[in-house]
Amino acid sequence: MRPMRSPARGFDAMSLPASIAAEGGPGRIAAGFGWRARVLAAMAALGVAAFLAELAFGPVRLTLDDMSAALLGEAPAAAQAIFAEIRAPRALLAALVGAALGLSGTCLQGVLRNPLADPGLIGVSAGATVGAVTVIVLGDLVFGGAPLFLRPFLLPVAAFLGAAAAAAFVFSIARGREGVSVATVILAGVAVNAIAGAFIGAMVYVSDDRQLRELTFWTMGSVGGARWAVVLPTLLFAVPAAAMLARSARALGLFQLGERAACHSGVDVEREKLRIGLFTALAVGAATAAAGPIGFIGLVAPHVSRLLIGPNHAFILPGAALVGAALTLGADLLVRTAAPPAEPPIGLATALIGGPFFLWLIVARMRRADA
Amino acid sequence: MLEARGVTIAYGRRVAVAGADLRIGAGELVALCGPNGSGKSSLIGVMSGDLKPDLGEALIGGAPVAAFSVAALARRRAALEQSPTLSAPFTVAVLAGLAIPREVPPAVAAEIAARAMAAVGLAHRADERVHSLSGGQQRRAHLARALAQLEAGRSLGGGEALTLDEPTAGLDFAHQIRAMRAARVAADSGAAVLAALHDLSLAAAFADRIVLMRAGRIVTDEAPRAALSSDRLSEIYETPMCLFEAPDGGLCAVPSYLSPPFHSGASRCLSP
Repeated sequence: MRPMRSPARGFDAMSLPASIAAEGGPGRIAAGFGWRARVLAAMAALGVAAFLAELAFGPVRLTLDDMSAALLGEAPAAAQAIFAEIRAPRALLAALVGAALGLSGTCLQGVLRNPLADPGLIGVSAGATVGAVTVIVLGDLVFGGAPLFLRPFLLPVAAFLGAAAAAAFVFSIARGREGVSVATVILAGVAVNAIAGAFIGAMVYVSDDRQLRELTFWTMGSVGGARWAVVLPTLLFAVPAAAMLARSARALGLFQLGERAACHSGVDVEREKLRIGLFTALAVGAATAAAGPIGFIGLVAPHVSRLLIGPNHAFILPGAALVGAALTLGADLLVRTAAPPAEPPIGLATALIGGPFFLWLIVARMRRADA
Repeated sequence: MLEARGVTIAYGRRVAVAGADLRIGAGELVALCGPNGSGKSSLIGVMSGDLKPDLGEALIGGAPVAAFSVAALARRRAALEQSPTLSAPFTVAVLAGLAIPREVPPAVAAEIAARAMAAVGLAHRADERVHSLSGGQQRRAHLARALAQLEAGRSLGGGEALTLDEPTAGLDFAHQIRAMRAARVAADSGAAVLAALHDLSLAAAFADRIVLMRAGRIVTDEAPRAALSSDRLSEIYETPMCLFEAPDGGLCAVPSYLSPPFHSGASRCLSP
């Protein structure tokens, strides 16, 4: 006699369309999320590979054995120092910055219902830059009396405040129940970027030689300044922010219905926008304070994640974090190893990837609008 | 139970709704009719909790709407917007399940979404992208989303009210009937249902009561046969209206397309 199948199961599989049996609605991880889990695993593998490559390659090549020895503190002094003081903080910072920008971009694009919303394009990064530049140039003057142990936090806090101001401005422009056109938000970003540019120009003008060097290096964007004193404050700010942003999946899905319907469906729209704006500013502020403004990661990572994994934000968010980390690590590896010992700013590489991608997005949208 | 008490809404100096009182009991389906700009959407907006009235209040189950958190309100009432939009490439099945609260177990949520899609006649399109459907089909998919939200709410102890802002707009005849049947089923299973409709014949066929609005005021709130008369409709809509008994026994209200618009005087149509 053949074993009995559970009749209820058979009935379910027969009567339910495949996709809902698999999805169970966005924001929830149900039984059949297999293929998405595999895509996420592939992204994670890519991220780990990029991380290891960032650790391994450079003027001195480190093997996996060197790294594991260094982790245990048993490597030769030189390899130990290269690993622990240079490569590890740098790789960690690049991964952190990429993940923070990827998550921030996903959340901004979701909340604003705008595929072109990127922390850089809409001015959030510029706000962070203004905050950070202020600290670099006027820091000694204003905060000269602050205790030393607080110093590493000045930059991220100022960058956060600047980013929050810019995000508040853009969100207030994008108010309105039935949504705001894609162009309006981008134009608001152009305005924020212009104002921030003028302010940064003024700061450059009043800075002294040492500050100017620091400023120039910093505004080009680089993870080359990664020391543990930089990485640890970034960790402290970016990780909680990223964790909070990663919890927005359900709300982001419902935001795709427009704000009125999102509210009908149980999203406290204003509170959610405030929450996402705040943690986006925190994540972008932390990333920008540590690595300068790095463009296009926040634009490209969410799109790549969506293309590979579909429209469910429960999967887009971790995917965008992984893709963002892998992209930033890859871009840094590229600029470090392209023409050593010269080290062009990382923004060159991300703009080379992101610029054409941005153009492609615009052209694709125009085609769709024509059709 | 869904209730409006003395609701007044003004946009600047224009009063959209003036002192509206409306009470929809559990199990009742009420049609809200009236010309464009008569205040239907504003009243629905207040009763579904997304507009704050200048005076008066809306209540669900006897408690003021404003007292509920957004999430708690979403468990108690579901709503279909007048012009729903979607800016992500979701499938019909995902859209249908989108507003189901997290507290509902995934397997139950999937069943609820499947039933809602069947109710609007989209079960066979479940795995297709919403954007690939026609305008009317997209609307039905959004209706399925609201129906699923209501049923999910009921499974969590809520599901008391359903507001539908023109659920039949843009639908063909068969699907207008289907949408109204779905609304009727929602009412029969215990919800208070309020639907803004333009088609008075449809309202007469499915609603327990018809509420007629004009210039922000509720003019009539009665059972269909008492609410509708040629004279009253002609006056409210400012165009001659015919009301007659259809061969199937239903009530039929249509504009008199062939007589010139008039603002007073008797209609040439026969009242039943």
